Amino acid sequence: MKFSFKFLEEFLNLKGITPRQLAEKLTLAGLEVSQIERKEGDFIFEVEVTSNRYDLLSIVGIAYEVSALFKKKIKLPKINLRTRPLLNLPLKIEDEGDCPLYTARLIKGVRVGPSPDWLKYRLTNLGINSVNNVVDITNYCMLKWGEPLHAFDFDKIGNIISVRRARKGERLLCIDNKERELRPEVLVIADENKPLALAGVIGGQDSEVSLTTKNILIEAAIFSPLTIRRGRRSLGIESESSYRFERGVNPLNLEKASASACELILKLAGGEFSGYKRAGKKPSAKSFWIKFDIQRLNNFLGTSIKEKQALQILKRLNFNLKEKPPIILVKPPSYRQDIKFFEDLAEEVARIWGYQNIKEALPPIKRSLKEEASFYKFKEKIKDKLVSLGFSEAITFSIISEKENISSYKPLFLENPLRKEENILRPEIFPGLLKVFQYNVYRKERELEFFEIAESFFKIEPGFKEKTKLVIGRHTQNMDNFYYFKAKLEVFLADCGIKEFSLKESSLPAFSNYALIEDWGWVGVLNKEVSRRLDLENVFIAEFDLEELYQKRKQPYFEEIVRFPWVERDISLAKRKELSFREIEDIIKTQAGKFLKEFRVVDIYKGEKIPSGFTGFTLRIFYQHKQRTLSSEEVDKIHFQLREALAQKEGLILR
Amino acid sequence: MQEELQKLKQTAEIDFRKAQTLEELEALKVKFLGRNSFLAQFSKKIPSLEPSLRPQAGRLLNEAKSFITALWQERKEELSLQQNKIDLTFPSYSLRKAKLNPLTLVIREICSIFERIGFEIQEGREIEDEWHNFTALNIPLEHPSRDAFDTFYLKIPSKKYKYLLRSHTSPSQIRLMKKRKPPLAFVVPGRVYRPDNMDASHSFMFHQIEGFAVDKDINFSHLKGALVYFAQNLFSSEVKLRFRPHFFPFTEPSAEVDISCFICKGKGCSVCKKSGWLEILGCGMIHPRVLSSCGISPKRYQGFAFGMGVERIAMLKYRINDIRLFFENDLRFLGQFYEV
Ligand SMILES: [Zn+2]
Repeated sequence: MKFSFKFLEEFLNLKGITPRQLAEKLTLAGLEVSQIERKEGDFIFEVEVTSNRYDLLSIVGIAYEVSALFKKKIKLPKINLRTRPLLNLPLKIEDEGDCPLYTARLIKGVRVGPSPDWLKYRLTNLGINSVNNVVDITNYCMLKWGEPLHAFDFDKIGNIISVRRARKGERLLCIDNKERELRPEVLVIADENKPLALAGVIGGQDSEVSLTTKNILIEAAIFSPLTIRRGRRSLGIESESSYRFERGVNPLNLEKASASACELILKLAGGEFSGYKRAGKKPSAKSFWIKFDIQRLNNFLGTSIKEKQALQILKRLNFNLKEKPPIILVKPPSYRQDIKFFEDLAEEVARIWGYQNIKEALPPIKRSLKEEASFYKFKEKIKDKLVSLGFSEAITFSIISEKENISSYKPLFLENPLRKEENILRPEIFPGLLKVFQYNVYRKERELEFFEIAESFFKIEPGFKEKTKLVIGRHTQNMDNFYYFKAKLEVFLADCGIKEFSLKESSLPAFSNYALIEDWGWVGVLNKEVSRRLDLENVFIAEFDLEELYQKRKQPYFEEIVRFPWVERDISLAKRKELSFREIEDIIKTQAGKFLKEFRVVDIYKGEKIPSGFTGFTLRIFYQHKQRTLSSEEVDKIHFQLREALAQKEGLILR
Repeated sequence: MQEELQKLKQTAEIDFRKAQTLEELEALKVKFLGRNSFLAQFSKKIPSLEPSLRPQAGRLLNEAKSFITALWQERKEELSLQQNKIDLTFPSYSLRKAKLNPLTLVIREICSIFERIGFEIQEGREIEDEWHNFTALNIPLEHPSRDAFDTFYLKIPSKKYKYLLRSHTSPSQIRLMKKRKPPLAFVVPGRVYRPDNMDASHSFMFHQIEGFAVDKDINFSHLKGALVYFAQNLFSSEVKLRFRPHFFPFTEPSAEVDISCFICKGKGCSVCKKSGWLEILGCGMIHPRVLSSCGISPKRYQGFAFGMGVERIAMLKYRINDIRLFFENDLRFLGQFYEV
């Protein structure tokens, strides 16, 4: 909102106060001045009015604030609140929830013309165009009192005024020269036939005050902030008027604004006051007596303000005081409807006293003896483990397109997506990594390793589930890097205390290989076709239920290091592609039993000597006994039995 | 003869020095110490000398021999050392370190600062209901933040409260206050969502850190102290804080906090829009209605709360000019950050 130094001077003597000083003090008292601009010999202040202080959406309101801050007397004009004679015009309010109060004043025989210069500057300095004397006066009074007014050409409206919701199909040509199609969420001022104005937002062109207008009707009303906001948002417009109605107007200023506008019109445009009418509730302002307690205040703020000082501040803010020692009661002025609790009083005292004058101290925090385990800390450790393995951390959006969802889970839909195509919460988080791969591949980076920890969301019957998941992914030009990726997964899981886990082949659309890791994860290779469509090459993904890994966490215990030497023996094999290595592993484990330390693939080859459909490789078996040194005869015997067993396996050739 | 040997020693010294490779040196060794060398010739001549001169000649010969051998040895060591040397200025192999997202770095740093003064770190869920996200926080039904323009609602059937994506981390404050009894002191980091169109300073998903403390004697001066400690540890000990009275439905009194612009040192620049101040967070004393709705008596307990946008702070700290960079995960972006 804007106000100007000169406008303020209509109510206060600001001698000796510079615009900078004024801005500084207002800012530190809660009315943030974001800009000061020099214009036509005046200073224009741009301020951010907080939503609780609609009293500051008027020059009078700001004047009250300045008077409290600078200890200056405020002088308000005397207004003749004329309500006679009674205007003979039916006023109908369809729903007092939308419009609790509506008033109209009629002036006959005005001469519409240009405004005097002082009035023009008041408006143009604050960014409002000058139209004609009558319209300018309504705007001037709005700026002054915070109550938006509207003037109708009385001869252009029918026999009644009604405040109602727009009907389907109704249209209105507004004064900004745009015709709008109205919807039922829009509140209108109408006569018996048609809408005349969008209530509290903008007037209609047909009934606007023009140079030929003779008789005018001044509207002053209270509209529901919510109704105004929903209505104008649905039409995508905003005005000085709607800005104030949305935040609230002080009902006590309504009559002042309307009557003072009439007085000024009579003065500047002539005419004769010809009637007043009101519909709806009489304005009332509830104010409460609140118990004031200086000790409680100081304990709350951490200050040592004296009672006298605090009460003086409240007096300057126009609070009423009732002192019945030891009890002190205070009541806020009627324009401060935001003050209801003791804590509100504390804020008033604190902000005028100055937040900058409250000393800083570290909080005396008592931590409880029993602390909950922290999932946050666990996640941070997981991140460090993965970074040390070469994976960078991605952060991607949890809202994705339904089309991107490759998952067996049912997703949750947004009711109001920002863009139509981004309409679900992702049930699995890996689609985010695919985008990260794509983004970097387009920038000529092809060897990529990333992870992300994020929430996943999916439907269950009934309701929904939110789960923290971890996705680890690799993009590479070389398919063989899968085993390198797998090795990192194994190292990572071992580092989380999971040394053994089983892979169970399964399937998922978009993956050429897909296997479940126990019941808390999966690993897969993205289908070539899907990869190509995304301009990607080989993509390996593993996703884990991080909450399960958290449950499985355990501290390591020392295991005795076997001091006896081990013996290595190699076997060269070729396996049919369809034969799962798992079956070879089973044979090794059964045959070698307690003598097995470990085994490794030391070589893979695809030479001419390998029959087609087979993969050749060399296995190195490490034999070791925990309590003694093995003799070579012993090892030879076990190894021979193992070879025999492998030779009998269907789909396996010993070379 | 003595002169001849003296000359030989000098020649050998000069020649050895000239040798640049071990091969050259080996050839010189043959020349000076080999079978056809001057020394070998000389030693053959000794028996033909007068007997009285022989011992003297033998001594001279041995001395020259060991002198030249020592020279050769020395040069050989020098050359082999030289040949094993590598060029340390030669370009390295390119290697890329895996990185954490800078948002993680900033969240960690902020949380650990608060942890040092007694706060505990906990997290909440991202799907919330209207009660926890608004009602319990004293946000009235007609408040604009409840509009579909400002909050993502979810299509989840429910009897009581509508489900939504939390629009701030404050519902976690409600959940922790309901679950645990005072004294309480927590910081809660996490993702939040608001339907804002993406541009350089807006994102529909971003991160916040909520913090709060509740006890019998936690007051506004403690709020100030905690935040000064935080800002000076995160930015620099030079940084000054400005508390401006503000309004939030869930705190009273409320404040917005600015830090003195560390880029222009308060003189005014484009980052601080010439004001010398940078807004970093909102805070206040927890509203009595919020305490009551969590079953904490506002007559016995009081406390403060604050909330900050992580992206904004990370952008200020690292001088990043576009919020979208955090979510693009460009390696050239991620590669720039590290823990100090
Ligand atoms: Zn600056």
